[in-house]
Amino acid sequence: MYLTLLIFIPLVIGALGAAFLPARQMKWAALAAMVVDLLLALLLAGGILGNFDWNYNPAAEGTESVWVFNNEIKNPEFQLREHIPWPMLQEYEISYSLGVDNLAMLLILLTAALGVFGVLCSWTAITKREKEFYLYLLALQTGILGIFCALDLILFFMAWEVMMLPLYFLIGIFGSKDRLYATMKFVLYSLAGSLMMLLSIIWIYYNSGVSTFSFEKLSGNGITFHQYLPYLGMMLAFLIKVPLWPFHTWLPDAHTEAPTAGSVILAGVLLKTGIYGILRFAIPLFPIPAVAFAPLFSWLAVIAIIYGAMCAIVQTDVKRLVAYSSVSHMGFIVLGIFCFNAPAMNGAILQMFNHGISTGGLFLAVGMLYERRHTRQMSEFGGLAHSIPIYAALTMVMVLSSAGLPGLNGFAGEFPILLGSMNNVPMLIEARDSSSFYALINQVNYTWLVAVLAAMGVIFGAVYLLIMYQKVFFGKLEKSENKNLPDLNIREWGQLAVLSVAALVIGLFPQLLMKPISKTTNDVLTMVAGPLRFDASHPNPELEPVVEKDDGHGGDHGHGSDEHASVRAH
Amino acid sequence: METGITAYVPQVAWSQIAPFVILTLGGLLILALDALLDIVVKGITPQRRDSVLTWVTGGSLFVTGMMFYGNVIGTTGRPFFEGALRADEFGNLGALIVIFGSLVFVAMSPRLIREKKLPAGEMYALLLFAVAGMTLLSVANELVTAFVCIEILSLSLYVLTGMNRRSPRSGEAAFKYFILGAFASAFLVLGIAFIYGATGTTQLFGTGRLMQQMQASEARIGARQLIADKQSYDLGLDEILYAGERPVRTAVFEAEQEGRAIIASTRVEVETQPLNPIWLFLGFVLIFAGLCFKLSLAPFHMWAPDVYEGAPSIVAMLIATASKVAAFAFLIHLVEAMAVWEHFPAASLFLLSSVATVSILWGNLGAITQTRMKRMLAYSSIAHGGYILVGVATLVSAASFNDPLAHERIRNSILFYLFGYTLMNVLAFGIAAYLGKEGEGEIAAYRGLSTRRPVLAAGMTLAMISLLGLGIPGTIGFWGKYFVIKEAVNAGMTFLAWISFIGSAISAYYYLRVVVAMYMLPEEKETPVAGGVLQTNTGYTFSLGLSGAMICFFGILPALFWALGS
Repeated sequence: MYLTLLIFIPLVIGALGAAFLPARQMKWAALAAMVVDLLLALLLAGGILGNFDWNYNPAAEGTESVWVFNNEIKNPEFQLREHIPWPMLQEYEISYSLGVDNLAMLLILLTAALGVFGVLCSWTAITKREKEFYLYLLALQTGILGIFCALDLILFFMAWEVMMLPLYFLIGIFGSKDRLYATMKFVLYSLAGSLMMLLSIIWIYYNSGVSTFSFEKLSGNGITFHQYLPYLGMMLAFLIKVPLWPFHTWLPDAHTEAPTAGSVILAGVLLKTGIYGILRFAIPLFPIPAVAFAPLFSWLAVIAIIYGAMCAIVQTDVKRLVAYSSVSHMGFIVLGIFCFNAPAMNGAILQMFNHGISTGGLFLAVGMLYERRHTRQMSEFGGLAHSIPIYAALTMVMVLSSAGLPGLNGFAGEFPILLGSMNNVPMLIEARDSSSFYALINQVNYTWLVAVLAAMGVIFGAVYLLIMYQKVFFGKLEKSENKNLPDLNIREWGQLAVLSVAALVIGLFPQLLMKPISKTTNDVLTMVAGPLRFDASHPNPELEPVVEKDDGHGGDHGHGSDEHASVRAH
Repeated sequence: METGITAYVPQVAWSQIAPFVILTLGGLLILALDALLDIVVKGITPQRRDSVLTWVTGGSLFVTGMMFYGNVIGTTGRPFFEGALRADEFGNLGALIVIFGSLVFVAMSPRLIREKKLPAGEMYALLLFAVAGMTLLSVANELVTAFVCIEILSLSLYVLTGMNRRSPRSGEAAFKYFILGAFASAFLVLGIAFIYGATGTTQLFGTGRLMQQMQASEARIGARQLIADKQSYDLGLDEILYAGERPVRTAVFEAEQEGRAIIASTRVEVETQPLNPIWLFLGFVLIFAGLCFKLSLAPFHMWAPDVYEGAPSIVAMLIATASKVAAFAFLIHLVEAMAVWEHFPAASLFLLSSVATVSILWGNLGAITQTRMKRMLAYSSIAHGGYILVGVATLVSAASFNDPLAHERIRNSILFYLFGYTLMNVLAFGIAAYLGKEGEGEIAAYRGLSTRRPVLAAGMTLAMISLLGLGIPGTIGFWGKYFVIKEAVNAGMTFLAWISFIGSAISAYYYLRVVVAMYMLPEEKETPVAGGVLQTNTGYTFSLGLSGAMICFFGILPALFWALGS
């Protein structure tokens, strides 16, 4: 009931407000809904972290950084579970089942917090059709929270689609000039992806052998698949949402045209739903294809990192620059996940949270500037540090956090990713049933090159962010319009200050989040490791897998070694 | 079939044919009232006269609907009326959907009659005849009966299309519909002739039996006689079971007599017929082509956009919903009968799949370029016909016939799709007609509707996202496509599932364009929709609200629909 309450409070209050309140007071209802939701999310986080064993040490369980195999399949322990079979659809095995683990809890917290900021940043910016605006915003919140709680594949798909429609209206009605193009592109991209996902979900239903959509039942029975087409179908939906190069082209348009609240939630939370889907469903259900395609996705991630950064450098529109920086940062996260080792995955999950804070903060800042000057072109600004110093200072924190300055949160996330990718990315597998197709993919595997290129992305990140900051805030205050800009009021100041404090706290004490995250990482890696190791001819779990210490290039794997599952790590 | 029995008295199960009788008599009553009301009741105003006609039509439809609902609950699945009809659950529920669509038509028509000054009596009489044809078609078990039903409903719809005599477009649409429809009828007749030639019967139930017999006879020469005897004995028993209230003994006696006669006749046929499955299949192909025309499936869809645009909107709604439901019900009964021939799935699957594929792609791609509302809806209905045909192809595919449960599920999924499709189109056409002349025209005229008429805009959005289907769960359109595609994947027809998904993704563009116009574009000064005051009537708003509510309700609890029937 708790999660149901958490999910549906925004939508219900929004619907009631739209039906009964006058338009001017709708924002108060929206704020109330978001704050109640945030309180519920904080209570949830407090409850879960309060019960969390802070002495938890994944190394003791044996999955720290290297592959240690056990045949026993461990499921993530979901809390606050709710399970109601869908009325009258028992024969179709669809159920309304919810539950959260540490990963979902973190993302729910982020969603609830950014929801409040989404309302606050629209407080004066939205003057027409307020009822609709806040209704869409609250419905969007419900959809996103539903994604993070759903444990049934069809329910997950429903929430996934429910999320799309409000954003379609938010961009299409309240966006800037080219909003129709942007919103149509967003919907067509999302829809193409999610339909492939639905096909994969139906495929899973018929091929699992237990005829169910319940993720708990699937993973509880240890059901995994090795077919790569349904895996790719599912991944297409997630990678479009992430978005990974080359599926990213909708993102800059959507970001640039969206109203500030839309951008903040889009960058802060919506992109994470893709990563969340990969971690929660795609990898645990398809461990063998996930590992087999890891080199491919690592390479795409590296391209995204470099390409996003390159594009960001040449942008003249501040918001578009931040949008491209999102492409680059999401590349880091994807890379961290497909390294399949504990540090990188920890870093990736932490970076999901960080990216929500820093990029969300940057979009808030850009929105504040836009509200004052109604332009986002860098050439229109310059020397703003003289006219609006508080704004400049708080934006500086966000910029540095995004660029990965040590001491702020961005570094705490990016560093473990680079560490992990340098250490052993991506490992090679020869699962017993791996086809020659998988072997072909593993041919292109130059791990050190991936790590080096990704590290260069960090440098590029500093380049475009600092250039942007320099052009906007430093130099002479030349334009007369910029001279009398009002500095931040308490509402705006509060938003950026809270995010800055959060960035600093996470930067200084990453273990606060890292510990709970490592539990999730451990769950995911165990779920991957189990099926890879499983071999009926070797029932004894004590047997060591074939581990070769040399030869990271994997040029000749597939020959010579015995036929059992053999995994090579550096 | 010539039985040679002179003393034979046909058994009529009055309770089962009562709905059709009521519909036909209702139509005649309307004609009589239309002519006589002015004379009998002195000084009756045209408005009062029209409203009397409306209530009589609505009343007879409602009574019929209740009877069909009673039949749904007590369905036996046995043939009656000399084997010409057979009311299984699918047929009865299909007829119920037809009745729903026509009740909505009646609720919406007073406004149309007032605005366009149409003759109410003719319209309602034609409607009732058309509905009689549709409901009979959905329970037809005999090819000639089906042909007659198709002709009744088609002729009525031709005239209804041209009902607006002041509009040249309406006349053009009716003419086009009629000319092309005549071709389709020719295909149908030829197909029926082929099937009769191949099997010696026009009964669907009977066709199947004779095919079985044929296979057996091919396998074992000399056993033909024996099987013919056994077969006819079975037929006799069927007659006893379904005879109704007649004393059993008399029935047995008659059945024996009849059975002997059938033995005689079948023996001759079995001996003399070439029994070539090629002719059977060719007959099916021709009938299917004729049905494709009625269902506006590609490549027989060319008439649909012109007819939908020219016809009065609610007539277009009737063509798009009720007539298609009936034709699909007949198509399903046809393929089920054919499928007893063991090679039928292999022979027809390619045909059905390719027509489905072409319809989905052609309909969706064609709709992209349309700028007018009703033309867009016409192309969308072509695409939806393709999705339903995916369900039919799944039904035909060999896998489903080995498993009666899966068979039942596939039939249910198709029925659910038809029901959802009817609701969505009722809402879309209804709102378009509600908005008057501009609403039926350019989509650009919808610009800014959300500020002028927020409720209507929300209703249209609901219709559009439900038609889009797979995009947004929580509408009936989602579950319709979901069930059909799920069964297709289960039956191993992944290719058709892919096509459906691609089609749905394409369709997002043109459905959402309407939403874009209503919500995101500024108002157009020239000819905006609903610029002035809209005329309303209670029935109209009620049926729009009911359709919208049902789209949402069954979008959340889809399975409740089947619970209605059991």
